[in-house]
Amino acid sequence: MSARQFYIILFVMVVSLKVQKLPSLISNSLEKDTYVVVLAFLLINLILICLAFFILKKTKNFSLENSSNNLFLKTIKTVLQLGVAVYFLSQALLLYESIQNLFSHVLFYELPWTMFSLMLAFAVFYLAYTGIKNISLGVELYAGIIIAAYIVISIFGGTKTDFASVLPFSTLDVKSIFEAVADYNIWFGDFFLILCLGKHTTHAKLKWTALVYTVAMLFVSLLYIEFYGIYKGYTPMKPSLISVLSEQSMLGVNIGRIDWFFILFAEIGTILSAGACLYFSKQSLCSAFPKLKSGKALVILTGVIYFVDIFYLVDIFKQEELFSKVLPIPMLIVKLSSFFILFFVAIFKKKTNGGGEFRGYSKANIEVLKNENAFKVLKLKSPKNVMQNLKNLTPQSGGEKCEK
Amino acid sequence: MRKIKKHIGLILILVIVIAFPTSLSNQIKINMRVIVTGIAVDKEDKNFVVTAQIMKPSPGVKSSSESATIDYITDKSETLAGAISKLSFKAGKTSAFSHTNFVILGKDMLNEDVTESLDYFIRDKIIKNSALVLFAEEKASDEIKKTKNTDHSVGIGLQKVFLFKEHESDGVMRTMMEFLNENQGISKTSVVSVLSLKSNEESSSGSSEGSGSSSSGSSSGGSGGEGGSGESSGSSGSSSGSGGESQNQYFEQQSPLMLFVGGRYAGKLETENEISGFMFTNKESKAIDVMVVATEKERLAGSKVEINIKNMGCSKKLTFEDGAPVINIKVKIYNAEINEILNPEIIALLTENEYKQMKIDLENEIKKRVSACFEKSKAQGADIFEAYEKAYRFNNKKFNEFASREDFLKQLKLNVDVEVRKLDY
Amino acid sequence: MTKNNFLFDQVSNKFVKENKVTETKFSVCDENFSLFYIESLINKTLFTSGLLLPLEKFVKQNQEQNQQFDKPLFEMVKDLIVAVSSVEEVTDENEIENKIFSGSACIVFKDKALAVPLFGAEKRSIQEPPTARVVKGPREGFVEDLASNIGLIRKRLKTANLKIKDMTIGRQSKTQIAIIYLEGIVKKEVLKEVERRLSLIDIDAIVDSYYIESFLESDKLKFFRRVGNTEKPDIFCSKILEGRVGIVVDGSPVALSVPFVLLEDLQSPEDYYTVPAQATFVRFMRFCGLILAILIPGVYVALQSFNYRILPINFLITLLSSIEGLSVPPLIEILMVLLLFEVITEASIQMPNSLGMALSIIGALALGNTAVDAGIISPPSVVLVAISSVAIYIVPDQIAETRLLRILFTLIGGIIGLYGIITALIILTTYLTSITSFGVPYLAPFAPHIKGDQKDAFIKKPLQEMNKRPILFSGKNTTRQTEDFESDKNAAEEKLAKISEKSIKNSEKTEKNQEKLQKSKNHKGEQGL
Repeated sequence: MSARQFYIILFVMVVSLKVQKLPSLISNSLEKDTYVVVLAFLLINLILICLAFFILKKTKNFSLENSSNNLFLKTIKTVLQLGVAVYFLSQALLLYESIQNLFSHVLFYELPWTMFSLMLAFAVFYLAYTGIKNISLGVELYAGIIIAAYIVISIFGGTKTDFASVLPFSTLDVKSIFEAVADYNIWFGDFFLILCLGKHTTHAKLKWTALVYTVAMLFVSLLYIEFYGIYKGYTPMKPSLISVLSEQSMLGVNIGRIDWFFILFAEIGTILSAGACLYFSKQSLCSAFPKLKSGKALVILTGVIYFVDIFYLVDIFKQEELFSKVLPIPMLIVKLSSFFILFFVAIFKKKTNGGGEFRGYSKANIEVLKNENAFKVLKLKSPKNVMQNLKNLTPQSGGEKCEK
Repeated sequence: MRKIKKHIGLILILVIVIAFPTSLSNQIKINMRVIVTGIAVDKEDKNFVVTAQIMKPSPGVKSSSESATIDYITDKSETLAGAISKLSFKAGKTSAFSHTNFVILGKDMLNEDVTESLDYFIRDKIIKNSALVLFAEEKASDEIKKTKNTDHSVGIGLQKVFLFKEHESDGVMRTMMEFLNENQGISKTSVVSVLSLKSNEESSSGSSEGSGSSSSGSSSGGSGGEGGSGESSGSSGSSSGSGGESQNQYFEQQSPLMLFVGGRYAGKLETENEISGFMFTNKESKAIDVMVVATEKERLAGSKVEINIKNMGCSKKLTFEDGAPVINIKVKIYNAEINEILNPEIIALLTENEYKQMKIDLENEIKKRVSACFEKSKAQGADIFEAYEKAYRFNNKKFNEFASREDFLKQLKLNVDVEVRKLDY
Repeated sequence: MTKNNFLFDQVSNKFVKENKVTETKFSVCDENFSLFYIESLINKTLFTSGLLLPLEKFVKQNQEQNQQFDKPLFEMVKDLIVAVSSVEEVTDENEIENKIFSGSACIVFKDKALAVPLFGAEKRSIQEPPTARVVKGPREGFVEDLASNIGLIRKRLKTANLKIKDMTIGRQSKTQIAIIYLEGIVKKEVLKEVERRLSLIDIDAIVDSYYIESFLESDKLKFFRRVGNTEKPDIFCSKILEGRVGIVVDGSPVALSVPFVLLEDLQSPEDYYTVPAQATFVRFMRFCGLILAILIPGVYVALQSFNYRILPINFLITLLSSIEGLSVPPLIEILMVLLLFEVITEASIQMPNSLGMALSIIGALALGNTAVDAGIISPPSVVLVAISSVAIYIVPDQIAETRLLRILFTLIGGIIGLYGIITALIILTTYLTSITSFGVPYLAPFAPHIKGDQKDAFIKKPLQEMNKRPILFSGKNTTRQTEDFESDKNAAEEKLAKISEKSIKNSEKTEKNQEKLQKSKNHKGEQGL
């Protein structure tokens, strides 16, 4: 994917995961300081993102698959990849459950979701099936609508927010914040997401990535502030942030709940993010079990999401138990282990010829695209070619003499 | 994988087809829904009595003003949820509460913590949290039935009416969420309007009480709505006249404001000074009419001057002086106009001195009213200017020095400053 | 060679009787030859004055004079008719067959023949195509004759770089296909692929360019077309100038171009002959119209069936009043109205003009008034389906797809509601992003976002700013125009200067480092380390 697609998909995935049920959960214990958790994770993840970029630079062509033939290491590799698969499956499940929750408890309330959830399962399956490239193209296509929807919702919310409700800062309970950081880390594994997304892109720059991530997290914290500023003590009762933020601003307008269309546009980002997470889960699962075919793995994973959501996560206590108690620590171990293994590999890895393509070019270039006939039309332009082009620039030729 | 790719269209069609029979039975047949636009809640013994204002569509009618009639259904139960669910049986259709835009609570509800009673509305995901909360001086069911005799869109759109009234400083628009937040908040104080609808005869006899100044919001009370008895619950045709018993109902101007502390009724702001004093400090109120008695000693001496304030704002700041909290209120009059001078002489233009004095008189009048509001609410234990919350938010150290909210309120003082930027004449 | 084995006898035996091929026999000094032609295919004036009369004169002259020839008869006849048109020698019987059925007159001797192209069958005059009307701009349109079409293209591109490759496809029809492109601009891979795919076609007849279009598309179960088409030579030339490969088919007024992107359907010829701001506005309207056409019936059904809470109270009341007493659910009602509109649309295409008025009365009164009064359908559904039906024609090239999609979205909206519409929209766009046309992504330049190509996407920039050809289609030559040669040259020189400065600095650095390294080595060497 191109750098632009990378930034957009990063923004959308970071925001969409955190504006669902999470603030209601956090505000149960932290109340007005909910947004501080976001800022804390922003600081933590910024450091880890720098390391992630270092890893990506050094280990572009390296993967855990071809690391070693040692049985012990292979076992560890399999376990880690399985862990990564479960991690991304849990992310997909979070997003899937939040979409289903939004539609079933807010917009609809009488529909049997055992049947209707099939459509969503199919959509997520199809997204993962077409691959991360198509998901990123889809996100790029919808970027304007999704981001505009978020902005409009936040503006609507902002008109009714009591921004002073987050004061005073002196009552910040650092211990509670640390506890929340530990409990809810599964929603904030963005550094790991960047590592996985970064493998599929060749031109992302650290400074832009950090900027996009910072903007996304600051935006999320603004939404959290608005959420608390409107609902205050009642935030834990709200099903999801995104569905209720604009509700109070529709007073007396008499155009119905037009804000619902913006919520639906914003949810497009959530569905696309769920597809991306499912894709990564499938990739990891297929890496862990090379004999497992991609299609079958995808069907299995989609089935797991569907059945867990419909039959297990019906109970809100089980939801909380799964995502706040059972999964956080193991998933944190998986993320950090994979991350630091790759980090150490990056430190000690010898420089290969070419040094990989992850160089951080200043201009986004077009990537190679193949159709079913292996018909390469577009080619990557390296700086070498660009320099050559400039040297060959003559007015008589009427243009550049590009070398393929 | 190839097989999946080949049959992906078929899979999609299968998904749709599987959902099809389920959806046909699960569609919301909106013609089997009765749209509830307002709810009135009273308490009788230990039962909740709920009266719902419902819209009955008239088949085949084209314009929206003729296309529905307002009707009322009432039922009771031990719980609010129980009473509301019983309404569907009475109507013969499922009640749809998604368009409920106001909730009126009766006098009997004031004996208990109101926030407990409103718990149903907060938990229920269908009824909007942004529904308007109003109180009735007597029975809410009587009051809601009077709305039928107002203009059609006014009767079903009280929220819009009260938004307008709040803008014109004739009432307060408090949504359910705001009301609950304020009661559960630090200051624990909330102000809610009383819904008071009167017929022409009633309003003319009652208009002499405390309505020395005309409020520009009062004319919004209702301009149509002829025919139809306010009491009957079975009649149809709100806009076509049908019998001589019906009376047009109009909103009473400057109806009292109820004060709630911690969800419990604390008192009222009843006089014009108290009500308008609150309005000057309410950020949503932008326009108001004030009558000032001129203190200028020559031409204008003793004259009653009607000033229309078109745009005003207010800021509140809490400071501490000698350990005592002082709420500093600055009222800014951005644009005001002298509408009428009741004086035997025709005074075309004011002199410079008269003009300055007029400004001072206006400032003093505003200060007087704000002080009246403050004193009344303080006496009733209400922190109407949210001073306690400001202390908590902006000066937490000092805040912690006070043992309780009551202790803080006892020591709370008021300082009002008025700035009149533009006064046209 | 015996008498019956002479070429003209073979041809005569094969074609003359049942194929309406006219044979005129000639004999000069005991040498025979025949003239074969199909009367309905040739230009009679040219044939008579340029070929038949001179031949008859020649034969008569030689019969009278009765002299020996210096040259073979073949050469003499060839010299005689060379002035008429380009003459081609053919020896193969099948080739002679092709020539005769292509409108040539063949003079067949014992063992070889001369083919004289004299095609003059009746053809339509050049007129404005009905599917691409413009208020301003050229009004010429392609016709069914390949030569005329090529003439229209040549008229606009008077350059030797315009290459035309001929192909014959169709076992029975032997249809002439011309592959047209601009050398130096076209992408060679695309050209090769087009040629490859065309060469694989083995079919009885190519009746219309749509047949070629079907074979050019890689996806058998296609829903969205991957080959562009146009009836206007100016549009065709513009596409070729951007680097596309064009295909013109004899017998079809519709010319094809590849690669194709969805954006092309949102562009109209008139956009290029009017103020850019207007073109931008109109494109935006087209896009909105397309969305409205596809989604409006589905969203209405969804709102009514599942999501009525979104509707404003006044509209909800009106809606309730209008559907009160209706006996069908909203989904069935909308499908009925859609079906009725489709029937009327189809009937209006087939109906004779004289009956058009009657149909419009039936449509307007029966649907608009009577059906609503009878309580079969409701007024909002009629209005919304009417808006959708009109909006379909805002993008004429996507009518087929839009019609089907709106029915699909209506079904989904009625079955699953807004949630279904959103998920279906995502599935649809994901499918669109995954398809390509000759390697070019279907939704380019939106997905992937290509900055340079945005100048002619939604926003139409002025012509002066469109200096570069679209990156996706063009090959080596990407410059359409230079705004100011001097400024371009200066800018390029500045860039080069900067790069060379940087490289000088870098080389200085490396030299310094090397010196340091050398010094330290020397120092170590001295110290005996």
